[in-house]
Amino acid sequence: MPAGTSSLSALASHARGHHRRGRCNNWRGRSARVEASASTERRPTTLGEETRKDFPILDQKTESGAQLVYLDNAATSQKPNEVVDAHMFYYKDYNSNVHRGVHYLSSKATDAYELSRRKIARFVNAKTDREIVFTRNASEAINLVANTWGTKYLEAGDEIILSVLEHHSNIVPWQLLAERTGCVLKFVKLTKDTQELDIAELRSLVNEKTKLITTAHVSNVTGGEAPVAEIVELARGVGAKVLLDACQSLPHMPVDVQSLGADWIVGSGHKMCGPTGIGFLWGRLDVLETMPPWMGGGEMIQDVFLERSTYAEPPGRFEAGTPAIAEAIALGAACDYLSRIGMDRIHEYEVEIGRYLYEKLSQVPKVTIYGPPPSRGRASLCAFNVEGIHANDLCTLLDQAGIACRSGHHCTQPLHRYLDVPGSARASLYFYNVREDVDAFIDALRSTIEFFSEFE
Amino acid sequence: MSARLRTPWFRTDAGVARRRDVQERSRWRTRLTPRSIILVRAETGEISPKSLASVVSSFQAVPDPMQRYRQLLFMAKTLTPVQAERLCDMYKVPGCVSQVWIIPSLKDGLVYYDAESDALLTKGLAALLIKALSGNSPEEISSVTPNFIADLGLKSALTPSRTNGLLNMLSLMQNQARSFL
Repeated sequence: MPAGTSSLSALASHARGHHRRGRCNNWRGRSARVEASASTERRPTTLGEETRKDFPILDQKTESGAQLVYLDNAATSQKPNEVVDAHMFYYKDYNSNVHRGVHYLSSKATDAYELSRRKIARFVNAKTDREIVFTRNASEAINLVANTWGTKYLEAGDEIILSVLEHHSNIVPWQLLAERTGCVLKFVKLTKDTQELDIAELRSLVNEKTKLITTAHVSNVTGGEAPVAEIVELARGVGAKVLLDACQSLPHMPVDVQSLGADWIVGSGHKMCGPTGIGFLWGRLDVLETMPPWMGGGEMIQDVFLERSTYAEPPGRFEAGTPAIAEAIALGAACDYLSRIGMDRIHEYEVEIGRYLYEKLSQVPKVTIYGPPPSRGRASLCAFNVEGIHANDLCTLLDQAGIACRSGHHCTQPLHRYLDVPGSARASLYFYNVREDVDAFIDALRSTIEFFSEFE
Repeated sequence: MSARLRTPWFRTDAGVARRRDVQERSRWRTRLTPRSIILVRAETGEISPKSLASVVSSFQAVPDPMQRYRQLLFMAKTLTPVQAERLCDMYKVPGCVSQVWIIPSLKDGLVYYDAESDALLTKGLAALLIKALSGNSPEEISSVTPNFIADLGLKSALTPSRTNGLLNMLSLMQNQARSFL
């Protein structure tokens, strides 16, 4: 047999015997072990261990027979039982259209839908629930601002400042707006050493033509956090608005819109334990009130005549047609769930487990991790490349070991072009991940690298 | 050989006999639909050209997904390197998760392919198709149906996006072969 057989068998046995060896994150397996050793050593349970039971989806084997280790949380999070239940109970118990009927079911559905809006408002500390506009997702929320505020207030020559690390959702709507209005997009680059938004360059780009500064609150690739206070201060200095893409911050840390000082933030339900098909826009009420409607339809009107209509006040003005009622209600349940754990506690735990991931991964030879080091503060995710192995190849073999990782450009092609790599692999954690997940990932990664090294 | 290729096998007497065999073996009671004919064809293992049949059977012989990956990676290494300037867009396979180029050439009436990819597994899949199709006539290559992909035993080892990539590679190669007709 060739010399490389050992790595192959290591990976294969990893895939098959992961669970049996007791290295896995199978919750029942772990509980048994924890109980068994409880008499000798009792360590406090971690948040990951505590919450694991709420996510039975994690307790399964993949097609290759390996225990699933879900590390693709930046793409979408899993949903706790109570969120799945909230979604189901709506259809089972009180499915009815909202804001329409006077009957019992309709008022029950309307109450639950509007209660969910209040829950989200509380979750982000909005001044009033009227500042929360339900959308299909964060992309729609950004498009909404571009198509209402952008179309009404931006003119040829006006400038929008973004950064090179934006998700496509926070680039393309502004490109479309630029095509319509003639406004100009300017992109801030990253600092050379830590790959964070270069605030000095941003400062040099801001001028009286700047009408909007928009960026990811936390990057889905570098994991770096934008210096929001400085951005807001720069924007205020020239009367520009600030929009934050908070998709990667809302699920992982406390987000207080009043202290952030932005004009809009957008959030994605499915990344914060909620269902897909629901997101939201938070906007300062005085700003939302200046925005014209975008999509026309039922719900968003005050009075409709044949020749003209008058429009509802925000947020109704921006919610044309029957909304995603069950999804909105379940997103409210997700906010309840996260708030009960406490976003401070989630953040604290993720800082710790995120650092563990970063440190373990940076010890693997030939690995390059993008973004700032943990000492600068970073999200609990690592986008990385292994020298000589394509990220897709890497993740395909990691999948054989049960590890769910993402590979590709993560909807940030300009960032990958800026980093001069075709793509990257990404392991992203959430509060229900445990150290053993990271260990399983690192083991499988080392075996995969060894497997490919035969073919160099 | 080529005369048989032009006649669908299930219209030949031998084919009908085989079909009946399989029918009895699997106790199928329903009337044969075009879909089930495809299934029967896959079961009887009659795949042409021969080069394709041999690739399929060599993959079927490998029981373990990791070994099948290993085989793919070995195949990737057998490809002749392609000069960078030949990698232009007209040879690029659309809709593949990685970048892959397939370049055809015609020699003595037979089609030969070269391929390059930035990802090794994808390159292995291209090598697999090249091994299966290179050196056959344009007619033979264009009459290959994609059913053999299911017979490769790679399904559990390939994500849908890679299976689609394989389909896209095959259809590009067939279009290239047809252009020589």
